[in-house]
Amino acid sequence: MKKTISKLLMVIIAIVMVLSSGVLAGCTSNGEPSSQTANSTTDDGELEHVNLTWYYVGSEQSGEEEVFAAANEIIQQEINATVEFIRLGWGEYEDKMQLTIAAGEEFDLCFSAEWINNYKTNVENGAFMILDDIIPEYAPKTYELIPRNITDGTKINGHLYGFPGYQVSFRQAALIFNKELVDKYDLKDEIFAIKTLDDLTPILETVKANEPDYIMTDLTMAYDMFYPFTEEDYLSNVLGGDACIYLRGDGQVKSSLDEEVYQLDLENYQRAVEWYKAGYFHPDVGMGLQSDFAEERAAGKFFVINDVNKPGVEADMLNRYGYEVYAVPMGASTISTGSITSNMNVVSATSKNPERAVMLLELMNTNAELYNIIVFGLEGKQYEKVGDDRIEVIDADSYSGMAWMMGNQFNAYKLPGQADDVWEVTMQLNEEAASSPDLGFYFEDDNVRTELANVNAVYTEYKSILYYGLVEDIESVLAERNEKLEKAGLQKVIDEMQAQYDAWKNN
Amino acid sequence: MKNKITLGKVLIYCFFILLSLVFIVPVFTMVSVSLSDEDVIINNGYSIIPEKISLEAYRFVFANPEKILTSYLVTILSSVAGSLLSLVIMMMVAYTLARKGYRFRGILAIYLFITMIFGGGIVSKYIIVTQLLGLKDSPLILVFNLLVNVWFVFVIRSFIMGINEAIFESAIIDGASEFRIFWSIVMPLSKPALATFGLFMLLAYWNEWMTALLYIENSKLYTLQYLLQKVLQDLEVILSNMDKMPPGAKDSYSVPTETVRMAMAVIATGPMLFIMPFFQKYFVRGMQLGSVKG
Repeated sequence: MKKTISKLLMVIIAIVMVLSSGVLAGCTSNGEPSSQTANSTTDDGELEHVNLTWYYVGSEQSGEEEVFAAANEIIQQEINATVEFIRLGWGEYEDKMQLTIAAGEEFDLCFSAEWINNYKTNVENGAFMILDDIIPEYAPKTYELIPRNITDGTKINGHLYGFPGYQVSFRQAALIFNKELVDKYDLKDEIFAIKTLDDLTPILETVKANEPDYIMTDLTMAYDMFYPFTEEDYLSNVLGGDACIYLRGDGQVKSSLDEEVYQLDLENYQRAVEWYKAGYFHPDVGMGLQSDFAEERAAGKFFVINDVNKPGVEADMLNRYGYEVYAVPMGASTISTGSITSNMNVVSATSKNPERAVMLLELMNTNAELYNIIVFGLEGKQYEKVGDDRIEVIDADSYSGMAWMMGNQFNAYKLPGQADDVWEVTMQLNEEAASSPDLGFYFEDDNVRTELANVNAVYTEYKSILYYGLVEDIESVLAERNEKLEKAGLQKVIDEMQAQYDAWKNN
Repeated sequence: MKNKITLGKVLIYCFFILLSLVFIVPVFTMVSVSLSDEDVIINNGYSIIPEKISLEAYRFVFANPEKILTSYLVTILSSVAGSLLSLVIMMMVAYTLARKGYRFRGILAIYLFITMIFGGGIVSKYIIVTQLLGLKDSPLILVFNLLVNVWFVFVIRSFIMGINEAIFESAIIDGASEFRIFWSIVMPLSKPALATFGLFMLLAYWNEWMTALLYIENSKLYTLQYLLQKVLQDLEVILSNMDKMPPGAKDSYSVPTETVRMAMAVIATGPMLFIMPFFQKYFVRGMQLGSVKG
């Protein structure tokens, strides 16, 4: 009896192993267009009808079937394809896309970014198709339209995988002030003269003294957002988010261990202590909670909040929250790998019709009618035209798409409050923005994954107490943190990044 | 027996009063927040007794009741169908395992046991479910995914082993088929087990959201719990990626207010609060299941 059982076990294990290796083999594909993806045109040049699927992220909108049906009419006419738009929720997109890709399911297009459905990781895993030859041939207009430094910045190992959504391509922080309070205390000149956060302190003091019901600010002391950098000393946060590793304008990798960054740290965290003592932060920060205080922001409880700068941000805030604001841009505006790969549409390696998928991207970027259907819905139903390229939304609860995601935002209709030249100004700012030193550089963390995880853990551990000034003796806490960072292997990560950056730069 | 108040008793009572408060207060807070005025919550935070009563949150949730009602229906149907089907199947497996005369008893037990220790991993399961079984986006996966809990099968097996073997023998002599024995003798005799594990399975199905996360894309097939889970997940993704998202991305997501979230939680948990007491009497008996082998 025992023998048969152990024999049976062996057989089961053998079967499992064979099956799983088969599955694993199925997952690896090299990202090259396979030979069967030949051109799907018939001999006389007419396009054969194909079905395409496009995964994107967003919230459910009422009436989306109707809108996509209208969009499909245009797509059908132009490139003889029917597109199934599959919307996945914000919270599920990451998991579902990973499974879909790992299972090798067939689809054509998907949304990919630095922050969700990670662009770089997926490219490395061969999930996306190389489009070096297809894009110039099937999407020539879009390829010309988007500035070359931006398209080049999305290249990984020299290959093109898709298009970034063409919109505000630079990143710049902005302080958003509650207009009512600023006007009440006649602070307009002062706020527009702010150069560093130290200049903000006396303004907060005035307002706090007179308006005890308001919370002064939701700013955190992450200095890479507000420091008035020039191009040379600009510190680019290559890894995004909370990492404490920066690339300086001259190509040097810097971290909190360096004197230069240490001084910035010290200055910022000491200011945080001052602010915390004066009661400028939300009362809940004392519990060490990380929150964006979304409700308080929406309710206009803050005097000054932190957001990204873009032309027309005042109108956006008014449309979103219903109160008027002043926006004060801070620091340098730059185009970095992070800012352009925050928003990509790519073709899956499993796509049977990559040419048609690229043609669809071309259509989304060049056909204003189609793009505006996707963004605003249907005329007379979701919006009313009040000018040539100006609309008013009829039903705020009905369909509303995402202008930033699926195409060329410069084709979008303008909403009330948006200036007539909003897109021209944006384009100009895009051109004026400096290219960050890391534009087009993708850090390969394979060799230092453990160290990086440890470093991030240490940084996060100290983050909330330092950002909100919950400890008095900053110097000793910083010394303690930096020692831990060093032990966690920060130097190794820096060396690795410096080596990779130099190799990339010299290439 | 006289009721004397001793120090020990007081301590025990205090302990249990505190313990039940630990369970009651959060539920109570949830209900009270859902009934509160949004402004009060922002200004003063949570409170156990609502300062200013407002039904705004419920009005908001039921303004477009379609979504929540369809997911309610999906949850009820999948929970009822799922727990009934899973009871029948688990009983059948447990019964075969319990009969000493069954030749492959040991092998079957080991086969089941292996699944308890080793999982196939999410990806391979996903491939099998979507590509081999074709159950992606199908309501059936909501029923099938939780069908058998091996641990429950083993407990039910030892419960059935407590039934005197002689009953089966006499039934065979009377000419009953194996299925007849199972259906007319084992099932009625296992009522406490059925009630207990029926409740467990019902709870498991009611609270399940992973299945919908992995296999359901059609929002009409979302279960209630997944609908709630999604609100929180969406919020989390948006919050943790604030600084990396493209400008404008935040605008496309409107955060449901605190009171609305709580109202949704109340709506989702409510029915279970009412069902629980009816199972209470079986529950106590069910706790003894499998503790003593016959």
